[in-house]
Amino acid sequence: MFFAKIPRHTRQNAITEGDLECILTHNCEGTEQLSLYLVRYIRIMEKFTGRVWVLGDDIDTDIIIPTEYLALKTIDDMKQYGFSPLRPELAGQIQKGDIIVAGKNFGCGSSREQAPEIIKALGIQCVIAKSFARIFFRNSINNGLLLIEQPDLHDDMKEGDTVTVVMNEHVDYNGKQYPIASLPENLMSIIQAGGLVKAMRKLNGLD
Amino acid sequence: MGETVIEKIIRNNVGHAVKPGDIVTVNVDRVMIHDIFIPFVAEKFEEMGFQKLWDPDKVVLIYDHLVPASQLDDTRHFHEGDAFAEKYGMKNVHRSDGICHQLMTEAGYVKPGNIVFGTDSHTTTYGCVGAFSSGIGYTEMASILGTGTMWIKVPETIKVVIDGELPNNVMSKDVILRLIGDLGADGATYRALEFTGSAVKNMSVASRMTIANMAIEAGAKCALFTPDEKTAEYCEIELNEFQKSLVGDEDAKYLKTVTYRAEDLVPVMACPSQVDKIRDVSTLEGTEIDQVFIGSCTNGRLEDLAAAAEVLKGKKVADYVKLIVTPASRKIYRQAIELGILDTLAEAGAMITHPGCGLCCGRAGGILTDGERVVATNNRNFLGRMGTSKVEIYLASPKTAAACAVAGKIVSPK
Repeated sequence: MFFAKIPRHTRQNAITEGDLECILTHNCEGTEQLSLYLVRYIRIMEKFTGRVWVLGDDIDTDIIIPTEYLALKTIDDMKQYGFSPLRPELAGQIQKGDIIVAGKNFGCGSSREQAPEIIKALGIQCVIAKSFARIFFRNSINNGLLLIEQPDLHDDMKEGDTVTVVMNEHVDYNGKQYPIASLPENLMSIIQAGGLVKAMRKLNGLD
Repeated sequence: MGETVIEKIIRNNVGHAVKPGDIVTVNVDRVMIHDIFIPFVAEKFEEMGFQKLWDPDKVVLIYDHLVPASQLDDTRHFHEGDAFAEKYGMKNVHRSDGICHQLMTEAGYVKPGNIVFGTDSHTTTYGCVGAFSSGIGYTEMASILGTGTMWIKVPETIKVVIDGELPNNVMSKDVILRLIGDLGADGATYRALEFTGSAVKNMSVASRMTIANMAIEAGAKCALFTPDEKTAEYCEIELNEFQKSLVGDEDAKYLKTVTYRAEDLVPVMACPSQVDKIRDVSTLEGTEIDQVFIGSCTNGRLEDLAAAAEVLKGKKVADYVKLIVTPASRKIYRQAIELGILDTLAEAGAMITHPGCGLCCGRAGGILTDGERVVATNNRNFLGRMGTSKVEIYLASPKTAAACAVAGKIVSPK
């Protein structure tokens, strides 16, 4: 559990998990160019490329996984219904390593943690959006879904094209670089300690 | 430097003054878990290696989304919930008493100034009595169950001032819909909304509940109302000095202030399929509808049912329209029987269901299909929320919804 308060947007300083929220909030105001990334649990690659699916603004959690499927036993049972109200065919088309690029307020709506879990289970390696909703943001941290905030890419993006994410630096698309925030080493080390479940296991002397 | 209401609540909890942006660990006063997520909370809790709950009395388990079961696998959630409650000594379990957000304040689990988390986004509802409450996922819930603590960032506050007297056909639902339209669906993301003004002071706790419930639809982390004599009566307590102090100070720092004159407000609807697509009802009149739903944690309270009954008294629901009414709790259900409200509604042609989430989350009793239109008093009109993705959902107040049920099309309430 990491609670220390550290100056915002300081690339050199250590940043805690808590600061991720600060950064997100700050970005929502649109006052800073800096964008957001956050990661947990996942193996962080320096650079990765993926084919892109483009979604719009306000992609809510009922679109990501409708309530009627929430009582299915496992995430694997549910994932075929991912995004079905909007694009029923999408879950079947997504392949491992693909990337979602979306507009503002991605993940708004309910607190269902199945939303980030399903996106991850479908094989999406990260979501790049103009902004993310609060509960979805925390749930993604806790489940290791990589989120990247980038204000401009969505407007230029064409579905089916590929982008390359250079962690801590930028997203490459169509010969143009879209800046993203850097991920300080101290944060990396916290992240690599594992997600919330692992942090608690450690607290309980299990790992 | 003055403080906003949320800053006062957090200061009281952590024992020192805070400002927006501070990261603090709070001691949680109460948590709520509902039936959909209890199996996942239980799994994560045990995976984390906890042996016991930090305080079983502070944990409330409520079955509401799946009650009574409508799909084959639903009852598994009750069995797993019961087993978890039994194993860890939980006494606060409600198996058919009503919707979680209604019960948390109605059954006295949440008091002014408390900090409460729940595994549901509409947990913001308890701000109606001046509590800081917010929704979280099941992994974070599992960690609270073990530790009793949670880290939060102190949010900035947007102040909403509503002065004056609301017109007769305007309800608190119209107020919050208008605000969501003005702020946008992400306009308050990560912020606290603080409500004040003479119109707010004159509102019942039930009306405030409707507003706090939908704060999340503007992205807000929480919504706060200053506890007053109505709050005290509703909570069956006497306010202590701390609870009385939960007023935004004159010199507190607000991100911005939004002001409304109550007399200017009119009946509105959120049109398909965005909660912030707000239109005056008068501009939508004549649109034909197939169904009307009055209920949910947003608008299933006694005053909502009474408002609908007043409109429907001596009238009949249009022939081809189904009117479904769902009281928010068993207590409300019984009060509405006693007062003759349910009889009036039934006589007008309403189908009255058991208390629960039911149709609001599209799981039971009244789901619709392609091309159908519903006027509903709940909080979300997302694609596919009440059936197929080609169902059109219009969100409205109970008065508007009842008027539409009689007319068989969208009309303004009198």
